[in-house]
Formats: sequence, C-alpha cells, structure tokens
Amino acid sequence: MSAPTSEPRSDRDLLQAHVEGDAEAFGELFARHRDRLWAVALRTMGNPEDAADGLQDGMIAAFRRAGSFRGEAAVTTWLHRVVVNACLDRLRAARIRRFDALPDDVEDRGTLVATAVHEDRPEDAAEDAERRRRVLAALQTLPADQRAALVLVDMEGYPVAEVAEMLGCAEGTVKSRCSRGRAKLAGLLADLRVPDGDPPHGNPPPEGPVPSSVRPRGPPAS
Amino acid sequence: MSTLSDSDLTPEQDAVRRLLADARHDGPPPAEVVGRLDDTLASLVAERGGAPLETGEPAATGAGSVVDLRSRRRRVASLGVLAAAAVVVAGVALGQALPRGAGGDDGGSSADTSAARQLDDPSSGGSADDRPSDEGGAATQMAPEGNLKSTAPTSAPTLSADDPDLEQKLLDVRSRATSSRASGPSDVLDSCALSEVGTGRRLVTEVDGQVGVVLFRRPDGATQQVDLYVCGSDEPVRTLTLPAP
Repeated sequence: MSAPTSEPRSDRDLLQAHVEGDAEAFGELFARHRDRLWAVALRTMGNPEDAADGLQDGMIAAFRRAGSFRGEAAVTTWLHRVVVNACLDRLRAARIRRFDALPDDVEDRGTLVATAVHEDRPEDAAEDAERRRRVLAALQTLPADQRAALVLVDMEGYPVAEVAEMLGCAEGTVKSRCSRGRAKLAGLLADLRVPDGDPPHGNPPPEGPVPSSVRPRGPPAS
Repeated sequence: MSTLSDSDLTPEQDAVRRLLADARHDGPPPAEVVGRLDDTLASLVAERGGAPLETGEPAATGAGSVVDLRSRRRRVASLGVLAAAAVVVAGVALGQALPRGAGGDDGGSSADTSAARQLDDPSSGGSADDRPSDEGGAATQMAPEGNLKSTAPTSAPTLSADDPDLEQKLLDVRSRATSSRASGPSDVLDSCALSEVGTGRRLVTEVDGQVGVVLFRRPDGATQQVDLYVCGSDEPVRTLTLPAP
C-alpha cells in the first residue's frame, strides 16, 4: 500500500494507511515524531525509565486507537495527546515522588544543549548543568498537569491552543496551569535568572509543531 | 491561535520560561529505548496482521503493555458477554437522556465524559479555572467483590479512559457510592469475566462506550488504587491512584 511516488507520505496519509492495514505506515509515522515525543515524555516523567514506559504506552494506545482519529486535529497533536495522557496516567498511578525521587542523572542521557555551547569553558558548562538540574528538579515538584502544560508550552514551544488540544482542556486552563506552575517555579528558582538579552537556546522555532517533511494540517488525501 | 507572548508574562514568569526553555531536551531517545519501541511495534503489527482497523472504534484499550494483546483477543471472544450486558448500556443512554439537575460548573463536562469521545475532538474542553468537572447525575452502585449479587436498579456512570479529569470523577463516583450498597445488575457482573483481576469493590460502568467495571482496590495507607476494565479483559484500560477514603 505504498505510495507510487517517492514523495514522503503525509502524517494523515500514513495514519490512514495504518488504519487500512499497511503494516509499515504506523512505524514510519511514529518514527517521524519520536524524538519530540520522547522529549515531552522525558520532561513530563522526570527520568528516562519512566519516560520510556510512558512513551511505549502512548505508542501502543495510538496504534490501537488510530481508527478513532477523525482528522479534526493535526496528527502530531493527536500523537502528543495520546503520549501525554499515557505519561500522566503513569504519574498518577505510581505517585512518583517528585523532588526527592529525582535521580541524580535526570539531567539527560542525550544531548546537553546548554553545555554544548560551552565546551571550551568547563566552568560555564558546569554552571549550566547545575542550573538545568535545578530547573528540572523544581519542575518535578509541580502537579503533573501543570508540569505537562509547562513542558509543552515553555519547553517545547507549542502554541497554547495546540496544547489545549493535546491536554484535552480549554486554552484558559492551559494558561492557568502554566501561570501557576511558573509562579511556583519562580519562587524555587529565584536565584537563577537568565540575564535579559540572552535568549534561551533550547526552544524550537516559534512555529511550534513538530517539524515534518510534509505539512501535517493539510486536508486528507482523497 | 493563542500564544503566550513575552509581554503577557511578568518578569519573574518570563525568567522561568527562559529557564525552562534552556532545560529542554534535544535529542533522540537512547538506543535501548528505540529498540524497545521497535520490538513492541513489531509485536503489535504481528498481532494485528493485515487487518484494517475499525474506524470510529472507541478507545477500548488504554495505555497498556504488549500483554494487552492477549486480552484483546479475549475481548473479541466475549461478544456474547457484551450482548448480555447491553441492557446496561441502554440504561446509561436513557439516564443521560434524562434531564439533569443544575450544578455542573464545567461546560466541557459532557464532551469529556462522552463514551464516544474522540481523541482528536477539540470540543472536549475543560474549565478555565481548572476545576474538575461534575460527572452529572450518574448513579453509582458499589459492592464488595464477594457480594456482587444485587437487585439494585442501575444507571451506571460513563467514563472515558482518556478523560484528563478521570481522577476527580472517580472520587465523585466513590463518594456517591458510599451511600449505596448495590453494584449493578448481577447478570452483568457475573458475566463480565474478570476472573484474574483480584479483589476490590466493583462498580458497573460504561468505559469508552463498552460495558466495564471500576474496581476500587483496598486502600493501602493513604492511597487507593482504582482500575478500569472493559468486560472480557483482565487488563485494565487505565489505572489510577486516589487518596484513600
């Protein structure tokens, strides 16, 4: 059921192909968005082990529920919603202790963007690493819903409206969760201030949605 | 599309936003995670074969593990059970059609609790003040597992495994159930074929459009685990932990 041309199939085409029985389509779709879904799961769960569980749960759910996708949202939004819900389920079920249970190596087991820019200055790299550790530890003290909202809005840079779709709530709810989360973090991180004019270098471009070789919001192929 | 611009934020909040942006993870999952996902996906594909998915099928299985595949096959084999329980679904539909009392403070409540709620349905909204929604007039009946026989009339609560406010709704269900001793139609509970799910207080419900059971486990200290099952499957479609009653 592969496309006859070499053009990459859109997210919608891949999802539809999966629904129709294409055994390869879902793997291609999920791989396309896997890195960003992993980033969301990692920051929401707080450690790689739980993030892997949450991402796997979300992948299974998306695989099975693809038939219920009606195309009213972008596929990537739908995928994020499934994965975030899976992560929140796990957090609620396990009652993960937030700050105390944060492993020492929660910082990352992948790329360290902040430290990468200071490779020639170890003292700055160490300072960045410590700041990130503090931020991530503080993030884990928030209620899961606030944390998920901040991860998606402030870390991943998604528009509030899209996050509202991902979390299944109103835009006002997302803003409220973000505001309350930031207020608490501001108290916890008052001694950590990024100087004005030093833009954060971890955020994606303002367009927000997961980069894809094909625009994901196009109408379904007839 | 609404975004939060810098001007919307106080200096303190903007500083936090910058810190969070700096702490963003950038990179692929570790190789072992990728391998695990690939293995899981291969299992899913093998289990499914080349059969097309049913479109519009409500989410019958929540975030689960590969083990769920076995339960899915059992669920298919249990269509007879579901047919026997159709009376409950009819009761639920009737209960929802009847007028409800005032008190819902969340305009998105109906969408959130709809059994046919779609994951991509943008209409499923919550309240701006983030208050949990009211489940509405669903009567709840609970009984210990050893006391499943009941003659109580029933209109079962309608739940969705994807509902972000499910925890609050289960709290509401539990609180209402304390005033009731019934569990639901005995024929449904008897035929629900949940033989390996352990003990607890069961409540007949509608989960994602199918007949199911909410199983309130025995409280453990300050918490109580709650599992949602679809009849015919011993794998919960969702598990939550509530504060102990």
